Amino acid sequence: MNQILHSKGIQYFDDDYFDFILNYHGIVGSKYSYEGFEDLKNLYKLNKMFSDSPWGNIIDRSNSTQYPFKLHIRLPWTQPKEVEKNLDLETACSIRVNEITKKYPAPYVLYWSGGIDSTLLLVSFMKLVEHKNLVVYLTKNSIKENEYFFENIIKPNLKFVLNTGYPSNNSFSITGECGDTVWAALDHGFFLNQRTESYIYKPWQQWFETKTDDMDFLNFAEKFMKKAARPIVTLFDARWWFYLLCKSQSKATLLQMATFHNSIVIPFYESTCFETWSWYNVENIIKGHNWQTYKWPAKEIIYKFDKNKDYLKNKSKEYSLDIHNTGILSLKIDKPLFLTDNFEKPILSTQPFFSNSVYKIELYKKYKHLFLI
Amino acid sequence: MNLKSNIIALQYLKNFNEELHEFKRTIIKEYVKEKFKKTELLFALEKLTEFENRVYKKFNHYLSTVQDTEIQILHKNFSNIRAQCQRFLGLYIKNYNIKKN
Repeated sequence: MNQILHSKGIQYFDDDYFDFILNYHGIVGSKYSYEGFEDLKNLYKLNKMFSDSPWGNIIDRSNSTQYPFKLHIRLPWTQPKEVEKNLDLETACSIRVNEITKKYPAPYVLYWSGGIDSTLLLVSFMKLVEHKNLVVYLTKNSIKENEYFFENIIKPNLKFVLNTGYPSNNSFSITGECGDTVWAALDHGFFLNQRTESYIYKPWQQWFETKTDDMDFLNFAEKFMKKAARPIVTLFDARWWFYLLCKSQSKATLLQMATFHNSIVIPFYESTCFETWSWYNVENIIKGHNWQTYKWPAKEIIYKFDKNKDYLKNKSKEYSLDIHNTGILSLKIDKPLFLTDNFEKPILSTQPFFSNSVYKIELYKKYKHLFLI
Repeated sequence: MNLKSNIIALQYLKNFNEELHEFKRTIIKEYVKEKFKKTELLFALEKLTEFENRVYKKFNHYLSTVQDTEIQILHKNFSNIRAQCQRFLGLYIKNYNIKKN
């Protein structure tokens, strides 16, 4: 007998269209501000403390926030154990490679942007996996960003595919996603911004109080920081904790949301071992408070492998938007409304226009159980 | 859908069309101020035009299926689409400027 597998939860939702769906299912409100879901509203306010225009889902992986739909958490937050205190980043990388290779068979498609996260991912795989089982997907901008690595490491050793679309099927695509949240998701807009710059290493409350005097929210923020179960003192610490806990699932699912992407996407840094390392090493994320030494421990591992002094000393974070330009940020005509736990990607035939009547005909019956809270 | 709703829907489309063209003019002005390169400008315009054409095509389908009572959500639909365009180009241009600096 054929068994129909029903979705049990939503792991990603499209911010632009999700309110239409929620409203159709009787949820009143918009943009994280829904009647009866106060904590969710506060999480959005928290996001606005770190970014003027937040984008991407806010998903509390501690499972302590109620959502107006059934939520699927990919990697529930677990507090690191004392015995894992001395875990170093290189070991965490090896653990993750082994985790992936045990679970998924070769070959592996590795996405490389030339940036620090994806270069460390490549280095980690090259150390442990037979090179004939690796294929690197890259663009011209990847080469521009790290030409030395391409010419000296990739070109002589690995198969690579330049500037094509996504692998169609039967392959496992490994990306550097979630690297950002392991490293506190620092960007130029936050770290080098004149307004936030002087507050980054001051108590986070000082910055929050410049933005709001809402005592209920400030109390919520205090409680939220306590959930980290480690000291959250500075604005930097607070950002690290918020992004690690609430934004990493959104990063993990971005590429999977591209409809034309049929292969399984595995975000390399979506793993407890990296979260544990990060939890014990918040102070090492940006050495000496200097932008050039951001992600220094990762650059040291890369240097041990490729001996490129220039990259070690001078490489800093860049926005690797090639993949985004072709998929993630594509203007949403055939982008799914949401992604379920079993990777269903519902699309409405009228998109980019949402219609209640078309939703009722095409999707309501199949997904109504996800909205019965 | 009755004639009145149809006229309202078309009015929304007309407004959207005007806004999108204004938006394109803004990008061109930014280019003139050397905020980004010609290739970047062409890429952005090409993406927007491609999107615009597909919106118009889908709009006909929407009109044929939508009910009169839903016409009020059309305004929010267009606002969403406009926001998507702005976000797309905003991030794109920001990324370009950071790389340039």
